[in-house]
Amino acid sequence: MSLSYDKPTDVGTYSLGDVVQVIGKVRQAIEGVIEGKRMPIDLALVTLLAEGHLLVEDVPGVGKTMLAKALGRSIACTVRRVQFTPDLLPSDITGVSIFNQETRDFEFKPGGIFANIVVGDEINRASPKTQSALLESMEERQVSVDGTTYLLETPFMVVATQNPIEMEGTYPLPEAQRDRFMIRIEMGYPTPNSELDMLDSHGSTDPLAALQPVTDAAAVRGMIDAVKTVYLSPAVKHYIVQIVNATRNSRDLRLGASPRATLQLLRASRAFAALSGRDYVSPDDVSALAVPVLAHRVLPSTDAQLARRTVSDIISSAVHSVNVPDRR
Amino acid sequence: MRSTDRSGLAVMVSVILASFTARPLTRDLSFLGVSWVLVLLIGIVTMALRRARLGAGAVFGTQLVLLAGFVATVAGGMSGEGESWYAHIISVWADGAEHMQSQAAPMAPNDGVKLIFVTVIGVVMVVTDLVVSGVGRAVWAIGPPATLFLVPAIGLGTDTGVVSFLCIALGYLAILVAEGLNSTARWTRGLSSDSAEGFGTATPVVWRAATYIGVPALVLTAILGAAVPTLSLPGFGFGNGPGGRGPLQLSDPTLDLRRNLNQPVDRTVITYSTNRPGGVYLRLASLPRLSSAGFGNVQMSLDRGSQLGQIPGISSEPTERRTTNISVGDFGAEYLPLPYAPRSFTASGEWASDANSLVVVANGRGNRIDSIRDLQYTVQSVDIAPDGADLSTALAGTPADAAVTGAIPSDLPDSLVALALEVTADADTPALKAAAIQAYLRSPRFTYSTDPQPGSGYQALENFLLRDREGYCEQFAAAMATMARAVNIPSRVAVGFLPGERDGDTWQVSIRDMHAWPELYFSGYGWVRFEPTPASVTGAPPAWTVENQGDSSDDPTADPSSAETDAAPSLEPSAPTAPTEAPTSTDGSTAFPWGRTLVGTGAGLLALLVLAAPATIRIRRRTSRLSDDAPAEERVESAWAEIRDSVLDYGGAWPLGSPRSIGHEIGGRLESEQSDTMTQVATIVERSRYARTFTDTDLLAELPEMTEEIRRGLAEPRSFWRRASAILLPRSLFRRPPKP
Repeated sequence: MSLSYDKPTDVGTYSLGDVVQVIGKVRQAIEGVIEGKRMPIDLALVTLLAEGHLLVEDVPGVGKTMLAKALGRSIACTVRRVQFTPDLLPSDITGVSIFNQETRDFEFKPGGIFANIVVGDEINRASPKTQSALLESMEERQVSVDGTTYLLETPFMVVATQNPIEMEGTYPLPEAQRDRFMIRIEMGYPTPNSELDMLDSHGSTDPLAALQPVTDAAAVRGMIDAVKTVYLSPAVKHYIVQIVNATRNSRDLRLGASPRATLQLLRASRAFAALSGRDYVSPDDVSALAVPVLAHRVLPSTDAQLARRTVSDIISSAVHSVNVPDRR
Repeated sequence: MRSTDRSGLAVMVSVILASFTARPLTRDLSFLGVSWVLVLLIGIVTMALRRARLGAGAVFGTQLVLLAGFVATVAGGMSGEGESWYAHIISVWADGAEHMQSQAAPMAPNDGVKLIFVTVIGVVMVVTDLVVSGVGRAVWAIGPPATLFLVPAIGLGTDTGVVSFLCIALGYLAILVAEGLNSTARWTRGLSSDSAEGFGTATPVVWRAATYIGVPALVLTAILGAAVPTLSLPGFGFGNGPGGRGPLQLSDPTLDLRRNLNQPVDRTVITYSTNRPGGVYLRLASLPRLSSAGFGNVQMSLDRGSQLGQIPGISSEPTERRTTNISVGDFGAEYLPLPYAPRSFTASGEWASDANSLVVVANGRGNRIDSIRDLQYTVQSVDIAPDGADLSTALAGTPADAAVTGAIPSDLPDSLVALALEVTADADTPALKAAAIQAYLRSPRFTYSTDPQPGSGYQALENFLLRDREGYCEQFAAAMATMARAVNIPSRVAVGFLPGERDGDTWQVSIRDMHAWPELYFSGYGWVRFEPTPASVTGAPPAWTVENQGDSSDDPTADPSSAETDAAPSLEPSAPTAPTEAPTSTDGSTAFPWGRTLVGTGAGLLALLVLAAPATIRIRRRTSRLSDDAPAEERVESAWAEIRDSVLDYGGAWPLGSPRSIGHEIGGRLESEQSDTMTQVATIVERSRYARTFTDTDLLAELPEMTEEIRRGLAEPRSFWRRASAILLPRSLFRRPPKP
């Protein structure tokens, strides 16, 4: 397993057409493992292309880890999985310097974070200290151990899963830390047909083991750069700001979305547009991403909770309250 | 120009034009100027407030304050009782209302009436502005000004005329044009330029559309307006002409005359008893205005009450009063049949009299044409029976309405004038000239026939006098009156009844006794009846009118009227009028109402133009939207707006959202092929709006065709009526404009 701790420079030139083609292949590969979950898969790919991190929240057994693994397998890059437990230490994440008797020097043993795709299972089971170590690295895209800073390789994407039930003895992520994740998705149960297909494909073989990489880290870097060229008109930028503002002014929300949310909504919209093969962002991209990007960052008001309004509903109505821009 | 300014100006123009429709209501038009000041005041202040972006409620409130303040100021300058200003206004209003109820239109000047008019016009201004700018429904802006039009037209039963209608229509057109300009500017704004105030490139289209509709409408109305006075009605042309010169809508008695003379079955319509020997001529109306269409009525200045004014032109009123008890049967008219010259009458109902003609007309509301049906009344009258010898030396006088009754129209044919001069060449005095004319018409050259030639205008008179010399009382009377005019004797044509047939103490007047005769004006004698219709119908002429009567030893002073009055009833007036001779169909063809037809056609065309206006504006808008001489983005937006309007036109709702979601929803309502087109157009719009550049000329070229295809798809599943209404009354024109 080769690790390079410097930001690589070998980025090829990728067009948006290539992005659609390559991402199409990746999507196809993942769908071979997880049937009927087009939207969560697309959102995971959006997160990858927009250089964000993904939070997968759902009950056990719906394929959270499977999605994360399939994503990692379909791209020829380093994938590490960290099972978060209460006794997990920060150094298990970041790495540790050990004294090497032979070289008579300290040698850095990188932790679980040094990978292109890091799968953090049941992140809420680790202690806040450990969580913090992970989240810090996520934001900074670097690790500092014993006064030395190690840059993390691009692409770098953390896919954390969280189990919303069995909350006893867990440390649910505080809002400030949930804000670090670009997108939160819920897997949801498969449709009966998808579940039937799943019985056929997973009954005898392991499609995940059979999954072959369809692209590599360099290609992903190229695609990330290509996505940055997607055009965002001033009207749509305004639209994004208006939507975020609407969450801040909503009576149903105690806490609105942060400026970081604005920025991440913008980036995600670009990646989403690129996934559709467009070189511009349309308001539909923004409105489609508003709930996945914003819902985990805001807090509903007591009234809204009493009225049993879900955060997704509140965000949706905030989006609807903003007029779609009808001119450039 | 700002859109609010444009609407404001249009509203001002519209209300000022509409204020003209109140003209027929009063003789004093000074209220017009005052109300215009109010309209301008409200309009200008409103425009300023809208520029300052004040809310609709605040603008409306200010308008009401201005209106109240102005009315109070005007009322303050008027005399009236009241301690506080509002009590003062109310007292002036009440005064005006009382005045209006006691007077027939056109009313004499009164401060209260003026204040009411000013108030009403101010209210119309405020309400029109509210409709146009406050609630943004410019299409309904015809409502408030139209009430100004309808009040005189319906409420008071007066003739408002074509000009009033034209005023309202023009004002409405102005508002529609302003609205069209505004909406065009709105669509192009932000696309072609960054100026929010500039006209878009589509603006000339609106002007063109306005020209297409407005100019023909104007020309047509102007032509009709000019044509109507001369062509108003055939026969005596008892039309009031355009512009509401007649305060009351008076029917044409000559039409009755012609119809009744040809009644297949004769029947008694009036029974009367009188202390005048020989019975009386019962006069319905007199027609003083001579024009190429014949004799017609003019505006009457009516006075209420059962006492009539002074007998025009008479030097000493005869003291002997004649009392006539009249009982009308099954005969409808709005004129009260009276012997000339009536002094007073007692009849139930509301009546008003005209000072010049002493004609009494029904003045009440409702169906005035039935006013005399089954009516019984008594009338006091005096006889106008001049001494023949004295009359023969009388001069032709100048009556109060000489401008009408003495006028010789410039277009009076020379042949008629020449004939009149020839016939009267040997007569020295006006009365002798009149007698000569009467004798000429009563000579055997002329034959009485109720199978008349069409009309009795110049052409008909030339025909009657110079060619076939056949006619009935209408032609005889008109001919004599016209010829008298030609020799400078004021004249008019009276329409009424012959004295009828004596039956014991009473006289029976039948439907075929309807008659027309000339009245000529002589100094000192006033209006004097002549009788040019042949003796076979009317018997001997009035004694005073016989030529050279003054030289005759047979002095008629004992009873000048006995000769004619005895003769008249002795002859069956309608004897020559056998029913078979004059079938009613002949009557119908001669009375073909060219004037009415023309006016009707014109009004119909105008109505069609007004009806076609929304469709025309809509079609012009579509054509301009789908034209290809605009920048790419503008063309895409125009096509999108066109699709949106089409969806609205066909009764659909336009969803909110992004082009793609709209395209998806509208596409769901269409067949699959058109649905694909809709999705494609939505994508084009999306690219045009949000992509970095949009320069796909191939797609642009296809855009109009795609739009048309979507329109077809929208129209196809709709019912015929829905499709028709989408074309004639496109909802997209009537909807509230989107908020900018």
